[in-house]
Amino acid sequence: MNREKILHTLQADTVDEPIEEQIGAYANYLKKIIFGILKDPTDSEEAYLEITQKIMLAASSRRGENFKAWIARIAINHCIDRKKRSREDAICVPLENLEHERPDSADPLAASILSPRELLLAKESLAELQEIIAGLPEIYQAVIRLYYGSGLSMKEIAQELELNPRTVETRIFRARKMISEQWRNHAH
Amino acid sequence: MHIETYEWLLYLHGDLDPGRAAEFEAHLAACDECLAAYVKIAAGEDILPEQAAAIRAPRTATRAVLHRLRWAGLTAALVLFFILVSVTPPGRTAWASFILSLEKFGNALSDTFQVSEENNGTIETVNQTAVAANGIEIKIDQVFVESDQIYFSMFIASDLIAEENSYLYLENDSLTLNGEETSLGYAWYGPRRGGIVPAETQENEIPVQGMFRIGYPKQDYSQEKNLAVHMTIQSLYHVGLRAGKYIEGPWEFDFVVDGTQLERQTHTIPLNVSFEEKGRLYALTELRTSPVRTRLTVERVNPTLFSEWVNQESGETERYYSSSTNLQGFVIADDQGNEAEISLLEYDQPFTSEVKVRYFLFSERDDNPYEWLKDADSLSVTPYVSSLDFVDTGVEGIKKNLALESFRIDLTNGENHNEK
Repeated sequence: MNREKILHTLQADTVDEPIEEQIGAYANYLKKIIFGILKDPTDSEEAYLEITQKIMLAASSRRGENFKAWIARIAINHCIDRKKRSREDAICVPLENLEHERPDSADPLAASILSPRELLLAKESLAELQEIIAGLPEIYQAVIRLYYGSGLSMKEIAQELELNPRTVETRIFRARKMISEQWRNHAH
Repeated sequence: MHIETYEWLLYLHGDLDPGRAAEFEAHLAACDECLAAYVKIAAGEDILPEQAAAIRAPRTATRAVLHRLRWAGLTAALVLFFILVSVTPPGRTAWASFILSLEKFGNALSDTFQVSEENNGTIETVNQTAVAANGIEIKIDQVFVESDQIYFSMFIASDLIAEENSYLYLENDSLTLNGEETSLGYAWYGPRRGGIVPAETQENEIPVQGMFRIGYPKQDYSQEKNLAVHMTIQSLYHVGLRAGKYIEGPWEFDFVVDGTQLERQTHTIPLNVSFEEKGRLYALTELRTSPVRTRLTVERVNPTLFSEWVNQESGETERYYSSSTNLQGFVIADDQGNEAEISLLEYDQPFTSEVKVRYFLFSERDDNPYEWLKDADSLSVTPYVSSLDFVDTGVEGIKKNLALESFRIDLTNGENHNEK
C-alpha cells in the first residue's frame, strides 16, 4: 500500500460516505479478524452483525482515530468478550457435550474465509514454523511445546521437567527469540 | 512482552492450549501494538504499515549492536585476519594473527559502545589466548563491569559457520565471579551471525562469529579491583542447513579484571517522577550515566495481569504480569541545547511475577549524552509512546512516536518534580 492509499484510508471517513458503506468496504477484513478469534463460522457471522451494529452506534463518539485500527479494536474486544462469556457458560456444560464442540480434525484455517491463495500461503508459513520449532535444540523444544500445548503455569512446567522455574522462564524467552529470528529470516 | 508475530499464526491455527490462547487474548484486548500484529497475520493487512513495522522491529540494543558491527572495522580486521591465516596453519597460530589485527582495528565492546579515546580503559581487553576444543576456538575479547551487569564479548572461530544461516549457540555455559556462581542472561550475536566470510574465500580461512554475553551478579562487583572471572562453556549447539547438533567442549576461561574502572566514572541519580499514558502509570526511578552508556530505569506501576493460576499443590495463586508497554523511550535535553534519545530496550522479559515491571532504557550507541549530562543541573524529559493514532510525519527516530507531556527533573538535589 502506498503513501497516498494510506492517507486515503486514514481520511476515508472524513468524506461524506455513510458509515454503513465504510463498514461494508471492510467486511472481509473484519470477518477475517473475527474468525481468527472465534474459529467457528456461525459464531463469526453472528459476531460480525453485532460488531457492525456496535460500530454504527459508536461512530458519533469517535474522535478522529484511524478508522481501520478503530474498527479492529472494537471487533477484537467484542470477540474476546464473547469468547470469555461462552467459556464461563461452558463451565456448566457436561464434558461429554464439549468433546463434540470441536472435532480433532477441524482445521481453523481451512474453515476460514481466506482465499485459496491466502490459505496456501498460511499453510506454507505454518509448515515452515513447525519445521523451525522441530529444529530447536531438545532442551528448548521440551519447554516451548509444554508452554504452547499445555495449560501449565511456569512453576508447573518447571516441576514437570524437574527444572528451576527461572531456567524455564529463560528457556522460553530464548526459544521464542530463536523461533522469531529464524521465522523472520524464512519470511524474507 | 509483546506476543511474537509467529505466535499469532499458532493461535490462528488453534495450536495453542485454550488456557494459553486465553492469555494471549487477554493481552490482545489491552495492547495496541499486538492488535496491529494480529490484524496483519489474521487479515493480511497492515493497519498502519510504517508504524506496525516500527513496532515489530524495535531498535533494541541487540539490533543496534548488529548494525554497528556488521560491516565496519571488524570486517576489515577479519579480511586482514583471513589473509594472515591463509599463510599460516589453521588453529592456535591463526588466533595470534587475529589478535594482532584486532589491536589494529579495535575491539567489539568498545566499538559497539563508541567509547571515546579519553575514556579508554573503562572497557578492559582480556589478555588471554584462545581456547580450542573439537576444532572450535573461542576467545574472550573484552569485558566491562557495571554495578548490576557484567558484559563480555567473545569470538568463535569454526568452519561450521561457513555456510549462510549457520550459527553456533552457547549451551550450558556458566560464570563464576570471585568464586560465586553468577546467573547469565541472554546471549546475542556480534558482528555477523552466520560468520564473517570475505568475498574471495581462501583455503584455510576460518569464519568467525562474534558473541555478546551478559552476567547478572548477585552482588555489586564494581568496587572490586581484582575481580576473578571464571567462565565455562560446556557445549555449543550448531544450527545449519542440516539437523542441529551439539559440540562438546569444555572451553574454560580464567582471568582477572578491574571491576572499578567504569564505576569510577559513573554518575547515578535516584529519581522520583511519575507519568501516565492512557491509564498506564509509570515511575522514573533512576538515571545513570557512564562513558559506556546512559540508562533510565522505569517501572510500570500497574501492569496488566497476564495470567493467574492456582497451584494445585500449595493452593496458592500465582500471578504473572505482562511486561508489554507502549513506551518507546525518552528524549532528554538540557538548557544548553543538548539533546539525546534514551530508547534502547535491552531485555524484553516476557512476563514477570513482580507486580512492578521494570524496564531499562539505554542511550543510542553513537549518542551517549555522558559528556554533557554529567555536568547538567536539570533536565527536560519527554516520554514517547507508540499509538494506533500514529500519523507519519516523516520524522526519524524516537520522535516519530507520540510525545507525552514533558516534565523537568532537578539533578542537583535529587528532588524531582513534574512541571505539568
